Amino acid sequence: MEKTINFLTRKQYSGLFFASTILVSLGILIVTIGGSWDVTSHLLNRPETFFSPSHTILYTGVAIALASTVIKFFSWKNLPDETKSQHAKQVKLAILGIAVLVGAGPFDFFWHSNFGLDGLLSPPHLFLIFGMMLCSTASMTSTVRYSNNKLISNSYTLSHFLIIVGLLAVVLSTSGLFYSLSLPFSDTAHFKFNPDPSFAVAFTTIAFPFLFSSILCLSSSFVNYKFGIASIVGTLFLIINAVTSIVQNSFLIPTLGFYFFGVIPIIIFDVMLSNFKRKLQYLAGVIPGACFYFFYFPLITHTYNEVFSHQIVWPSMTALIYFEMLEPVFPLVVIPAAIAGILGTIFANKITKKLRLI
Amino acid sequence: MKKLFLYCTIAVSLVAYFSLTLFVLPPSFLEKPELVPQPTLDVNIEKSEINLGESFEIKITSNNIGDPADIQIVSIGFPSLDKIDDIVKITEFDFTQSPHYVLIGDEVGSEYTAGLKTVTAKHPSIEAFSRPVNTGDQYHIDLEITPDSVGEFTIYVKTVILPHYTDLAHYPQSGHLDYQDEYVEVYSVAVSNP
Repeated sequence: MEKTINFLTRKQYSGLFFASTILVSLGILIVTIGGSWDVTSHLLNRPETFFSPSHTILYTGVAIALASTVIKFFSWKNLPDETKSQHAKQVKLAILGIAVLVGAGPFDFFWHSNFGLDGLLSPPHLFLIFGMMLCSTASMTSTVRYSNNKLISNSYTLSHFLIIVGLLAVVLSTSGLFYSLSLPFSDTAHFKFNPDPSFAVAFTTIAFPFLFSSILCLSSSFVNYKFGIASIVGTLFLIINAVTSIVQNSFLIPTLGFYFFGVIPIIIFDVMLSNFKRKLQYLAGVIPGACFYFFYFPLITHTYNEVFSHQIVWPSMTALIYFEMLEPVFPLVVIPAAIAGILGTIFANKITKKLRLI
Repeated sequence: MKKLFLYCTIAVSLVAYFSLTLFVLPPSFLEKPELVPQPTLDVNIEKSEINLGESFEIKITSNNIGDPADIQIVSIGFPSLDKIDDIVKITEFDFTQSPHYVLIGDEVGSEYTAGLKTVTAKHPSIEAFSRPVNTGDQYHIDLEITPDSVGEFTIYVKTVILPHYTDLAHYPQSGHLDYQDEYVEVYSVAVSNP
């Protein structure tokens, strides 16, 4: 019979560590969903208090992530020494991330109380996003390291599906950072934090395709290029974006069919990687890169509008402005975005190698 | 052979996707008829004459009888006043956003341009607004006014729906123009010494 330490066996602590790591990712995923909803509700009906439904979801996610990080830390302390040292850096990063994330709550409340309606890019929001990124990245790498042997096996296991939560938390929290650095939603009565429109367009054209391509590639390479996980990650990203940014605005509901056609290039990418593995990896990276203008609908309309259209983007006019800009914008951005997509796959390759080697 | 089939499937799917998203679907969104929202107002003032020191109530109901829109603003201006202070009190409102007080000197939008053209406010006003406003949506705001001097107490009332693309998007559509170059309905109450 296995020896018990502080009520549990080593094996049970190990399971608890894995479960809490996934829950940290789940908490961050909930935070990102609340955050995305919050951005949309600011666009649609200007919530005037700190106690809005989107903030409630957001801070519920923080609570889940916080509780899970505490459990993760105590279970990690009781892991066998070898496993413990393998995850030490990730646990420390997760603790730092959750500390920043939790600290962002009172900071945000203070900001709302003193400066009223805040912009997207504000010091407390940056703290929040930075904390989210640290937590989600630390948890995703912990999950991959912990279940590496299961992930590279030929058949599907529970770990294959749990890694999806980690990958979604990373892509959505990083998208949150990229949105704050590019959307023109940050000027308020007290502060003018809107990015320069030309910088915002250049940044969006490079950063979003790079990110989306990296995450899809990681979704495939983490599971040894098995078909399915990248498609699920990409499709769930589309569903979350649709629920938080499209469905909330009744004027955009007719565009849902158009938006979900985005599943096609995601599946093609997955098929290419699962059939040709690394041979066609870079070519495959072109696809999510070139399609980013569709995946990140509707919010990127606001960024490109600042340079290409100069209209007031009313919620009822978002789709019209987006489609009007398609003709001038898409030919300009498709090549740099495709190159960023290739760079994303190169980056993903390096990350995969690093996580497998250490 | 299998690989060739796969290459062909990938190529055809990509061509189909880009054809749909770049050429087939966008025109259907670009050709959509423009929405035509149409706001109306119902203003009810309980008294036309009062004595100095007394109060009167004004009840305003806004409606959108046209297509859904993003925002409807009801503006209640007080050209007889320099500042609102305790003279005007909001007793009730059900607009989705908190009313906004405009002070003399504030920069405000003009000519129904939603802030693209601006002027400086020449008298105080209260702006009540809701967003979004669907067809048939009604909102109310009630004010209690206690004038502090004798004479005519004048009130300007107007509503505008944004985005503003046709003359139907504001109410009234003719009559007196205020400093924002926008039409207003003019109401007044005679205030006399007791």
